[in-house]
Amino acid sequence: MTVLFWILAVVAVVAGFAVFRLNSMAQVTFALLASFLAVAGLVMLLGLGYLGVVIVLMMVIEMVIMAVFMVMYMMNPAGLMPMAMYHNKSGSMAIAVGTFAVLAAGILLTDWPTRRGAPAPDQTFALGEALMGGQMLTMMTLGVTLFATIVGTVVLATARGRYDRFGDDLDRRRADDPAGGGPG
Amino acid sequence: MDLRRLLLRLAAARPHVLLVALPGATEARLAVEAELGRRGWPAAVSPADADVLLVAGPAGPALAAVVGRVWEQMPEPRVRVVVEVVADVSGTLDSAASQLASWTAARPEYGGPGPREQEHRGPEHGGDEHGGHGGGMEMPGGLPMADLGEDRDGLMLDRLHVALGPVLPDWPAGLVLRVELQGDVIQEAEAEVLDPGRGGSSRGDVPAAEDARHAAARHLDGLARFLGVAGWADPAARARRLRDDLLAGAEPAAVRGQVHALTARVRRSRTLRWLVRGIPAGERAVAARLADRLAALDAAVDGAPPAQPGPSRPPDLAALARAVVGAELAAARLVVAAVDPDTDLVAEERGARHA
Amino acid sequence: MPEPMSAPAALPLWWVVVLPFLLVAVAAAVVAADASLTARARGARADVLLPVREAGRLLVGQRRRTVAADSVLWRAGGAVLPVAAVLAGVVLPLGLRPVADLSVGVVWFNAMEVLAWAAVWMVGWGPNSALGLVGGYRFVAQGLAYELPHMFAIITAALGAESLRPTDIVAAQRGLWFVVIMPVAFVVYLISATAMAFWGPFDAPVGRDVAGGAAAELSGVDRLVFAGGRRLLLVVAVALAVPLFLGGGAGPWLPAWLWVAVKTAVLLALVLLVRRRFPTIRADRFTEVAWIVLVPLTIVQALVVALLVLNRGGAG
Repeated sequence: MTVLFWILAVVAVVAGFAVFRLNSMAQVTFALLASFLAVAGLVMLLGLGYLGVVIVLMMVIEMVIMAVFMVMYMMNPAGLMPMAMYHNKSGSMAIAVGTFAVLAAGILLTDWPTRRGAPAPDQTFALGEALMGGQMLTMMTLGVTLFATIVGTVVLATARGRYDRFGDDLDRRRADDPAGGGPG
Repeated sequence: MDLRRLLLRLAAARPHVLLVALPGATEARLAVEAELGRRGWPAAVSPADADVLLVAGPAGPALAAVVGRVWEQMPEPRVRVVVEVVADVSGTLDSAASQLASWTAARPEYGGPGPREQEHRGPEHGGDEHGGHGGGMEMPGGLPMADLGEDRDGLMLDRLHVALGPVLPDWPAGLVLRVELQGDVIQEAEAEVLDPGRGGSSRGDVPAAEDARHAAARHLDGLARFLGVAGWADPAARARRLRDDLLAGAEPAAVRGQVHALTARVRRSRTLRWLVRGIPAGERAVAARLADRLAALDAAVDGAPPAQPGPSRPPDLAALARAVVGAELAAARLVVAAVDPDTDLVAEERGARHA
Repeated sequence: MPEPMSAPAALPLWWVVVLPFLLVAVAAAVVAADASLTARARGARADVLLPVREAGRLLVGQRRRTVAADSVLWRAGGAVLPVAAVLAGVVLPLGLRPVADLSVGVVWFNAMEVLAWAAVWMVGWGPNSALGLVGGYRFVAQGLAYELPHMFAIITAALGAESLRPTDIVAAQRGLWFVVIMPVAFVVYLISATAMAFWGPFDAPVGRDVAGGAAAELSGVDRLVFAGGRRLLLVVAVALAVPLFLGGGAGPWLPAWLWVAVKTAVLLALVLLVRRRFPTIRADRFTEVAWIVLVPLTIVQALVVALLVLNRGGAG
């Protein structure tokens, strides 16, 4: 358990730092992913299986989508052109290392209280109840707001609306798209 | 190492053959494909996947250079053979297999300077002329980088120069399509046939008055290649098999039922219709060209006189290049397969660029 | 496993060693069956030794290097694929018990198979090849299309059993297989499982039109690992449909493990046959269908199942 903790912790920190050291956007993206995966492992070590697994799930998808955007803007395969993923290297590195130091110091210096009570028998169930019970309203509001934001962003970003696709009276049977396909 | 020898022998019973078809040597290509089908040897889709590099026909200077680069890209154990006379096919394949089975050359350790790496750094790659399937060596240090351009949504995005062909599965012999890719979308294209007009004869060996059998075989070949590009291997294999039967001497009337069953199956597929829908390909769309081919194939096995006499006009490469601009890569492949330019008929140096 | 396991529900620990071999054997059988179907269509004879031949051929083959390749990501990507498939396989009940009986089993399964996104993208990106890259991003586009319907299908089964644990899901189907009350989720699951293993008709990422796409530059043992990993992923993804929708090892006369094997074999045969019926469905066409047909369908399916669960007094 302790060995596993130290391995994962070191991987998380080293991979996180590698984000500043590597000069290929793809490698940086996957270094960040490796860091997140190590953190997910740590979360699982805490006994929070569901949260850990969901971190893996979300981070893999997010990082790969990020990689695709990267290709879109710079489509040289294998990252031939050395290019960093961030601006102001020294500044961002200082912030990152500083944050890490402050948080680590905080964790080490805090006088943690001893544990009272016991963890719930089913962590996943307890988590779901906490989110969907007492915090139901918060979560629902958050969810709908996020969804509205996503839809709004897409609507704002796309140059073509339904009038372009289906004609001024929306009576075209099949959408007029640059690339056909789909059901309509 | 006995285990290694055993594995080599096992593998040599079914080598993957990368067939490089040359313009004017369609007959040799068809003979090789028929023999591979009989043996059940798979056709390699890329140099990395190949054990045998089989060049069908005599290569001119440009294609010889391409073949050389493809050869460099192939992993060992590998054998390189040329088929120029149709009668040689079976013996050539046998000797290739036996060479693979008794392969003894030391395998360079991984990490050492493999043959391909050294040669790829050579100056001959300074130009835009890339080997075969356009992969592997797109842009080693010093080659032109992708440049910027507006995409179809008006964003400034990178454009990548890629040469499609001449070594691609189900691709017209000798054709090179130099495209500028933005994401998946082709923004500019230029078509060229390397070493044209060397074979002199048309597809099959009947240039002038094409009889029903050769017309049917030609349409089956085109259909097989189109279905191969569309990723429908099963009917493509059937089309190839029928084509080989016809070329081996079967009467069109004898295979009529099977051909009708095949065309009916392709026509019936709603998925295929949905996949090829709305892809323009010059004067006729991909779907319409496919329908034309199926109708012509049916007519040929029914014994009807061909609607149009065999192809004698050289293909319009400029129109082909125009047709793929704005298409996504997969759609562009379908366009080329649907147009199916007969590169055997390209007479002299021709190129066409469309921006 | 950090997950607290209930000891009697999982197989003995040595199954961790057996599982990869078992999965590889099934994958080899899939390769042989698929190749014999191909040989039949072409009129050649079938070859039972084919998986051995192909594996041997790749084992003695030379590994390739390409110019200006991103070797780290390239090799890592290929290796991730089989590892992810086996890790996903640990929650499969092989009979009554899985190798690891995780309380969040189906989410674990989903997280492991999502690693394929990263793997295929890295393999496509690594060799510095345009066609490889095309294959890589084709898979991500395809992933964006299938992943949401896939998650909804899995969650629907979990909802029906009110548990994320595969063994609980199997137990919940004692009376009635889930395929009866959630047929849409079952069909969507099989579609998305096929798409996840980029198996035909969703094989555009390694399509013939781009000379093998993501796999275009792989040779030797790298190709073996990638191609093998892809088959393993297919086997594992299809095999989970058995505990999720087909009652796991439930069935008369035969022992549970045999029922699991029979059901899995039937599903795999179905997948092999379906591949022959359809041409490659390109991501540009599939995405729209996935988002405006499959996602709403699976949501409605989940809603129906949720109402059924509430009706029988569950989730109280």
